[in-house]
Amino acid sequence: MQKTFLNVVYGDNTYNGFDFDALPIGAALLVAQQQIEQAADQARSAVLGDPLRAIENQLAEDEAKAFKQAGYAGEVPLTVQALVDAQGVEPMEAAEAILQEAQAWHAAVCSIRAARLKGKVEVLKATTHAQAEAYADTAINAIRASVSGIV
Amino acid sequence: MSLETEIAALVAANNKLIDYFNGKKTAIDAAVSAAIAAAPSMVRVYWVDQQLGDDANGLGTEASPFKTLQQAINATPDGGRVQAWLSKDYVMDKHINLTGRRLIVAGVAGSGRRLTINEFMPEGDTLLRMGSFWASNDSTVQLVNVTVSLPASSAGDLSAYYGLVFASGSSAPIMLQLRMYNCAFELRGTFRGKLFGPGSVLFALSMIGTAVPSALNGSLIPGVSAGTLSKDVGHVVTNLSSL
Repeated sequence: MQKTFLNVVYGDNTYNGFDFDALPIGAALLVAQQQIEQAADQARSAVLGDPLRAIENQLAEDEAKAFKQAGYAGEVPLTVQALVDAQGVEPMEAAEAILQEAQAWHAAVCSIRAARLKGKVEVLKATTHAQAEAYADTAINAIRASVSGIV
Repeated sequence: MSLETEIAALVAANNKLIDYFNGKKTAIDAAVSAAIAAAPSMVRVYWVDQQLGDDANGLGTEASPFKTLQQAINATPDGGRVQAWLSKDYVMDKHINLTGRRLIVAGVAGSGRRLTINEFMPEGDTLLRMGSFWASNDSTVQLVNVTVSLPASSAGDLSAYYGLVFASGSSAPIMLQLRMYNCAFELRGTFRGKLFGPGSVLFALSMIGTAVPSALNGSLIPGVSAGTLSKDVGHVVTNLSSL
């Protein structure tokens, strides 16, 4: 985690340009939680890209899922057809590829969420700066590991 | 003329040339040394003791400190930098004119030095001001290891110059600059002044290891209200997230 030049609003003060170890313990816990959130935001963004791309992915997944549930029969959904046209594969193969990729995203997002929530709760148990740092580093590493190999 | 005679004349001429060179070299070396000795050092380090110091006879050393920050500044060449160590707490109840100097006011780490800012009424004026640094030209201000104690502002209208660092008129710096390193604020009541006063339209505010009480939000930069995000204010360069 970042330990220098930290800014955090805590209590009646804004702490500017502080070293982590120089912060009051309450502010240090808050900083540790914020850095876990920040790591989760970065990881989520790396997996899903911007929100509009996430919507596109969700649309493709929904249509691929419906197409599969229909036994790959009927009109090929546009999002599936786009992959067929791009890669020259069969519609069923394209739908499976979309669903497989969506599954990887789901897993990553759930892992990020789990590590984020767990890490934030654990940080609050810390009574020293060193403990807070250790909890935060564990959570941040878990979050980053969640997306390695996916992005 | 024999060859021996010509050689002797040549040697004599050569010796005169060497003597001339050595004479000139010695003179040039002496002139350069004198010029270097005469040039004032642009970087000064002085000690200031408001209780026991002496502006008239003090040397500005730790053993013989000045009495005022103003004297430490005055003893520094225009355009130079002065580091003023506070031997004791210091009360600012008037303007300190930087007149182009770059000023560092420092307490020894862990000494708990306090810079107490008080109100004052300038002669011939009707609005209160506070002890402050009056910047001009190349002036900058750095505060190191000090607690800045801000006054409880009096009721009624206050001067626009009721700010810790300000400038005025045509000699104002391009940018008002303040750096606070391991400092703290103390509020002795409701403070209605500003950290920066008027005079320049650009501001640089750096804070390292310095906590700002929430009551000072909106009191840092003229015209910038509390909660304004720094990234939204183009004329302020700062490491603070919000102002």
